[in-house]
Amino acid sequence: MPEFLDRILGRAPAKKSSTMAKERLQFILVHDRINLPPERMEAMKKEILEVIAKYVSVDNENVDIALQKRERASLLVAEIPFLKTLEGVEFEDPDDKPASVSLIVPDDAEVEAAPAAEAKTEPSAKTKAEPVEEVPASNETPAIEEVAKPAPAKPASASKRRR
Amino acid sequence: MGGKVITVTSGKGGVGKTTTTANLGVALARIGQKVVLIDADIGLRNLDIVMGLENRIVFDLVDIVEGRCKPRQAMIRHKLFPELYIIPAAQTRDKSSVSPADMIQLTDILREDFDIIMIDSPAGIERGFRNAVAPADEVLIVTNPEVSAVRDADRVIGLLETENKASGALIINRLNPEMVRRGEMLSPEDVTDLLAIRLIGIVPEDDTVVPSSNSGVPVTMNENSRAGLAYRNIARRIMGEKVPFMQLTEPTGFFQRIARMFRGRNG
Repeated sequence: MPEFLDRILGRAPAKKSSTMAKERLQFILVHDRINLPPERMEAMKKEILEVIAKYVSVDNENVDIALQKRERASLLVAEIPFLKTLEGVEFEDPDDKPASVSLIVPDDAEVEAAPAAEAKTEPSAKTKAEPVEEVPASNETPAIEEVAKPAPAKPASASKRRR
Repeated sequence: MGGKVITVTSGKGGVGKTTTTANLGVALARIGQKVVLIDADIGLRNLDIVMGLENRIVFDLVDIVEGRCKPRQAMIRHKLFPELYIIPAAQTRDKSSVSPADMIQLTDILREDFDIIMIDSPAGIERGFRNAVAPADEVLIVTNPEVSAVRDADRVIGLLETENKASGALIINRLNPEMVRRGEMLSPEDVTDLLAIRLIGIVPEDDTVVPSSNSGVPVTMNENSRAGLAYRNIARRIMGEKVPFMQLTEPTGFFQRIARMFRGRNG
């Protein structure tokens, strides 16, 4: 009679094991059905967000991507809110600069080098750019010219990318 | 095309496939169907012993498939029901002795003489399972209200779906209504909710099932057994009859509660 005791003592009754069974199964079955274990699911979420972040800036704090089931069908339901930056509107706060821009920029080091000798800095830029990603710097040189102008806050953009 | 092929499967072992096959076979024979049960669990022959026919085996499924006998010669007639037969599994061979095409060929012959051909599938989702479901018009998935059995049932349902196998229906076996009431066991609603498949029967856990297997007399023949009644109801539903699910909750009046307290938890 533990439930009765709980009620008398005003305790919240312990969660029923059948409820736990159902909740656990709900989670397991939806992953089983599409043959996607939770770790792979996390990797996929991350990749999806990276792609979206190339085009719009994502409010990462409030992203919700989850598997759901509808009868025997499984579906991926994503709620991905964007930061309030409208196309054509200037960014007053450099921190609000869309992630897409910072993703294309090769690195701060190169941007710094750019005004001095725009066209012929490739070799020196390469040596300076320590944390460059896999993207070959030479491919991105045209982008440097465009992006270099509206990007005064380099540390901010660098940290943003690493998220 | 004649008779209908119904396969009983589960994914997980030990949930009651063979007991279900034996009991549904008897229940269908009792309502006048010509029935043959095939034990497809090659290497782990069981249906014969549950039905009390283990002493009469001459030929088996592999003998038929390999042409050593005619299907008729391997069939064992039930002692009480002249229209109920079983084809036993081979005990000394393995699942690869039979192919899905062999099963389709055999059941096509049996369809001419029988109303229902019921196949008892082995556990798992490998060759033996593929053999068992290959000729099926209908698949009965047996599960228990437990996490492992439900998960495996879901896997089987998924496999049947991808192979576009015709309608599957669920049997929840060994349901303990008292544990469901206490919130210690998944309820039939929970299970059907999770598996999202048509429910065709709920068989309560019943102390008469094991003694029935012990004596080789399927529990369906016991008029007083609730599990037996559940199997008879499933048989009628297989025949297309609308039979309401039986009331599983035990009486919970004052005196019954007192009585249960004295009998203890297992009462």
